[in-house]
Amino acid sequence: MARNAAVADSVAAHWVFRLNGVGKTWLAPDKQFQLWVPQLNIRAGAQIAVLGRSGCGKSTLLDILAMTLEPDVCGTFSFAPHEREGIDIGKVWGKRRLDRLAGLRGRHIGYVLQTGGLLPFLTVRDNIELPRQVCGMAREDATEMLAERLNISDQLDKLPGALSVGQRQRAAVARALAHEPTVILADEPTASLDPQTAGEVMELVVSLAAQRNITLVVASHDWQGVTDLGMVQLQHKQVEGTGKLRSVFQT
Amino acid sequence: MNTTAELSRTTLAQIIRLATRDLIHQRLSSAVLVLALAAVLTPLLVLFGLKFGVIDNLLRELMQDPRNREIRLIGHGRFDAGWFAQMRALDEIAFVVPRTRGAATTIDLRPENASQPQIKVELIPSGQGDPLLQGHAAPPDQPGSVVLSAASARAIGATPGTRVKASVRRKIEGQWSRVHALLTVAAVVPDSVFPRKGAFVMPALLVAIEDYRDGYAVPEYNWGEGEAFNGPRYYSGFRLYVRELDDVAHVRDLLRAQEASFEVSTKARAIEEVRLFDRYLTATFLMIAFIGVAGFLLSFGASMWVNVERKQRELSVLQLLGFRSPIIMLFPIVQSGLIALSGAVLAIIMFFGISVLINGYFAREAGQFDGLCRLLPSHLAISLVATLVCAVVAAGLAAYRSTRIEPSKGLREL
Repeated sequence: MARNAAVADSVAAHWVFRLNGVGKTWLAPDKQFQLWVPQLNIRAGAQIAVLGRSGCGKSTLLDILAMTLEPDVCGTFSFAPHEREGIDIGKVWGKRRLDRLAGLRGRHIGYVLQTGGLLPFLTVRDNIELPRQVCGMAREDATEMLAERLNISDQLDKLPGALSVGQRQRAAVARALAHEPTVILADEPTASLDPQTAGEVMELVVSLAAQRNITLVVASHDWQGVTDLGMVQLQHKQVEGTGKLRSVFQT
Repeated sequence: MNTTAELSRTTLAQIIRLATRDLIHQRLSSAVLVLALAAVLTPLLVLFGLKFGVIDNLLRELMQDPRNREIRLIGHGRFDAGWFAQMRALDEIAFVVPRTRGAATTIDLRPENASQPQIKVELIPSGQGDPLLQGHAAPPDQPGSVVLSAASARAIGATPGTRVKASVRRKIEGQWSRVHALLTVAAVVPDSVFPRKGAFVMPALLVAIEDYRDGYAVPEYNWGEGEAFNGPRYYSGFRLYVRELDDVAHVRDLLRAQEASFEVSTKARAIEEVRLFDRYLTATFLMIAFIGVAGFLLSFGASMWVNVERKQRELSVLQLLGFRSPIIMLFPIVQSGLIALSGAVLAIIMFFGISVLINGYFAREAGQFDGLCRLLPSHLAISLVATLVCAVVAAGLAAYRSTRIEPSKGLREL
C-alpha cells in the first residue's frame, strides 16, 4: 500500500532507528555466523518486514533493536523515540546501564515473541495490563478495546494455558500494543498458526499499528504475506567471508 | 522525584504480587518444595531436640547430683570444732557436718503408740543447707525432729507428724541398759535421696548417743547416771560437700595436704569419665549435625537454584517488559522466602508432634525423665532464620546470575 511508503518517506517523520556498522557474531556447531548491518534507518510509522530463511539472523536483528541483546560491533546505534535527538544505545550498553535499557524497553517497545511469551500464572487481562502498570500508566478500557479488535474478549479472565495457540498469539499482540509503544517488534508472530489465522493476525497487527502510528518491524519467512500487506521489505543476503558466514541486512 | 519513588513502590508491590501468583499457580511444585524442605529439616530438629533434651538434661542432672560433690574420708580421723569452723569458712565448701564413730550411728526406731517391731536405722548427721535434702525436705532444725528415708517410713508406717521412739542400748561391765528419745517425723524423703533405712538428725543427737555408749551420762536427754562428757571433743569424720564439681579436686588436695595419711575418696574419676563421655558425645553430635546441616543447606540451596533456572523464561519476559534487574531478583527471592518459611513452620509443627510421642514413650518407660526431646524457642528461631537466610541467599545468587544475562538469551534458549 502506498500509505506506508508515504509515511516512511515523508520529510516530517523522524528516524526512530539509525544503525551504522552494527554486528553480532555467534557460533553455530560447525561455523561462525555474523549478523551484519552496514546501514539501517527506520522512520517513525514505517512498517518493515525483515525477510529471510530461518536461522539467517532475523531474530538476532530484532533482539538488537529491542535492546535485549548486546551487539559486539557497534558503530552507530541510535534510538529516537521522540523527534528529539536519538539516544546512543551502544554507549548505554557499553556503560552496562541495563536499567536504562529496561526503562526504554518498558516504555517504548512492544515485542511479540514467536511463542507468545505470556506469563502463565497471570490471566490474559493481567498479562495485557502488565506493561501499562510497569510504565505507571492509568487503567483505561484500552484492554477491552484491544481484546474486542483481536476477538479475545471472552478469553480475558482465563489463564494463557487455557487458550488456543492463535488466541494466545492475539493476546500477545494486545500486550505489545497496550502501553502505546513507539515501536512494535514481532518475531515470526504467525509461525505457529494455520495459514488463515496467520493472515488474520498479521492483518490486525499491521492495521492496529498503522492506526496508532506505531513503527512496526516484523520478522517473517512468509514472502507472499508481507507483499500482500504492502510492507517495506528488508532482504538479507549472505556473504561467505573468511571462515564465517555473514548475513547482511541493509536499507 | 516523588512519582519515581511512588512508581518503584508500586513495582515492588507488583513483583511481590506476581511472585505469589506464580507460587499459587504452581501449587503442586510449590507444595513439593515445602514438603521436601520439611522432610529434611524435621529429623534435624528431632536430632537436636534429643541431643539437647537427653544429653544436656541427663548430664546436668548427673553433675548436679550432690553425691558427686561429696568428699568422703576413708577410715577415721580426729577433727575438732575449730577444724569444722575453718572448713565452713572456705568458699568452696557448701556443707560440712561432723560424723561420730560408726558405733554411734545406728539406733532402733518404732512409732510411739504402736507395738510394731522396731527397726534398725542409720543416723545421718544433717543440718542447714544439707545438699542431699535440698529440694525434698527442710533439714531437721531441732534435736527432737527427724527426716526419715522412705524405706524407714515404710517399715514403721510413719508419715510426717508421726511421733517415733528411738532406743539406744549400751553394755557396761556386762550390763545391758537402754534409753529412749522421742522424735517427731518432720518429713519423709524419697528413695532417690537415701535408698536404705535412714534418718537425718541434728549432729547433737549423734553426739549424745556417742557419749552415752561411751559410758557417760547425757543430762539433756536424761540418759544414764554419773558424769557427763567434759573433755575436748573430737569427731572421727565428716559429711562434706563442695559447691561446684570443679572444686572437688582442689579441696581433696587441700585435705591431703593437712595430713599425709589422709585418704579421701571422691568421684573425681567418675566425673572425669562423664565429662569425657559428654565431650565425645557432643563431638559425635556435632559431626552428625554438621553433615546433616550441610547436606540440608546444599540440597535446599540447590533446589532453590534450580527453581530460579526453571523461571528463566518468566524472568526474561519480566526484563523484556521493562522491570529493572534488582526488582526482578525479588521475584525468586520472595518465592524462596515463602517456601522456606512454610517448610520451616511445617517442620516445627512436625517436630512438636514427634517430640510429644518421644516424650510420652519415655515418660511411660522411665518415669523420672520428662522433656527428653525438646528445644528452646531460641533454637526454633535460629532454625527458621537459618533456613530463610539460606533460601534468600541461594535464590538471590541464582537470580543475580540469571538477570545479568541478556533477556534475549533467556527468551530464546528455552
